[in-house]
Amino acid sequence: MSLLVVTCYGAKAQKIDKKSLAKKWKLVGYQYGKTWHKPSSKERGDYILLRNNQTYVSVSEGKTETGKWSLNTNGKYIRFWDKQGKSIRFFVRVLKTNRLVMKADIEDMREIDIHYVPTK
Amino acid sequence: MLVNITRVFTCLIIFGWATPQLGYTQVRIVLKPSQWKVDAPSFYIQEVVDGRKDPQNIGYTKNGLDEKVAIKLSPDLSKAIQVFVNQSLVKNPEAAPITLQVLYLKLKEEQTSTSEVTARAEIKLAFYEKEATRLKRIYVIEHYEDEVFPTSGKSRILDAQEKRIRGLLEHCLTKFGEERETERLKTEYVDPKVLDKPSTIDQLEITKGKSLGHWHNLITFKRSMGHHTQGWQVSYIGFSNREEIIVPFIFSLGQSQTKEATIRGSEYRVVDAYTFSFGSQVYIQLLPNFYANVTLNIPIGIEMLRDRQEKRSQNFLIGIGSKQGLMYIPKSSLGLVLGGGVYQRLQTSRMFSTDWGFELSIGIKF
Repeated sequence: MSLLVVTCYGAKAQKIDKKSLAKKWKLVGYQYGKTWHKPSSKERGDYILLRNNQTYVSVSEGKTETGKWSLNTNGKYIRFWDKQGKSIRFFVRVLKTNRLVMKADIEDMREIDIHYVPTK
Repeated sequence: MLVNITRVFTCLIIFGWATPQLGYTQVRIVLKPSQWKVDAPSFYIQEVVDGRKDPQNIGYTKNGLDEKVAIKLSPDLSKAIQVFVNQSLVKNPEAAPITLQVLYLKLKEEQTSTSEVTARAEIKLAFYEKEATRLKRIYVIEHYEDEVFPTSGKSRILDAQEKRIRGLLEHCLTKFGEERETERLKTEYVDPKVLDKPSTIDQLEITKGKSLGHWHNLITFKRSMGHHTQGWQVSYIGFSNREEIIVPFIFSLGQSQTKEATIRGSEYRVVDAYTFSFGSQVYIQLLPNFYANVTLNIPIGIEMLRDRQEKRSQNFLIGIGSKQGLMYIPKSSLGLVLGGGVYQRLQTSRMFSTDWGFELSIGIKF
């Protein structure tokens, strides 16, 4: 945990823009207050691929979803639209060269920070 | 909450992320300098017109004493928005000049559960192109954003509302840019005087049926008259009326005495019960001030018994109860609450296993 925090906050902060976000982000864990939770065995390969063309691919518990994403720079959130036109908002808490921390605007998940690292 | 005293003190200027000192009845917020990326903007905002119906403020927040505090944009709405949008939509010879009219901008916040407060920002904008003597309305957009805060994080709301205004403007201007690029704008020539007249809008179309509601705190005192018992109960009831069907938070403490007629012939002389109860209650708004309620609860407590030789004993009480009733709850922030209904109960009393009766309640809303 302490290694993780050092890695996270030691990295260079980035301006929240489309270019910095357009990467493949691998899920590495959840933080609730001071408690750290690793992804479950089902979530171990989960990631979000944010493409420059504003489309995304997400793998959540092994299930793949695709759709469109947009960034609201001032609101500091990303909105993901699925194929059915439904959208979910994720607030961007931290964006560093080696870490993305987001909070899902979903009931019961608002206090949980979701941590991602860039991957290839 | 109990009092909404309007005191006018000096204005406090909050520079973007600065911590607001909410001891005042009015705060001014300055939009934090910030840009969003616009690829080759084909338009810029030449003029921002404040066309709101109520230009006094852009909404309210609540200070530490739970008093309403009016929020204003500094230096004024038109200049604040003009300066903000100019940072991203820079004037250039290729870009078309657009007049932006703010028809509605409101910040709201309401407690929406026992542990959460929802902050909302709402906006309606109209976009115009000016021709020699004519005015062309080319786009109208409504948008709102909600964010839920824990009640412990109420002090963060005002800062977040400033961010939300910027977010709303970015969303609306980006959307306008996309519609303009794809030539989906529906244009209409309008009387140029429309820019001088205040709008009549006091609610967005898109938030109709999505009200934040109001949080109700009630303390009620209930007197019950049952087949076997009579007693009283004090309850705290907290709920938001944002939905038609309301599931409030309820906590009750009560005491009841078993009636003489039930005790007669038994080995006991006095039977008292002390219970607290929790459960689910559903309120359905019938009229603006009248609610029907149905409750399913689990009373837990202790039965204190004294027999005819004055020997005391205790019995653990647990049961299941239901209630059906009507309540009058005033719309005002402070007022008298009245209610009545019938109840049925099954419980582990030594004297009886079922009871039913009537109850009347009086309380206060605050």
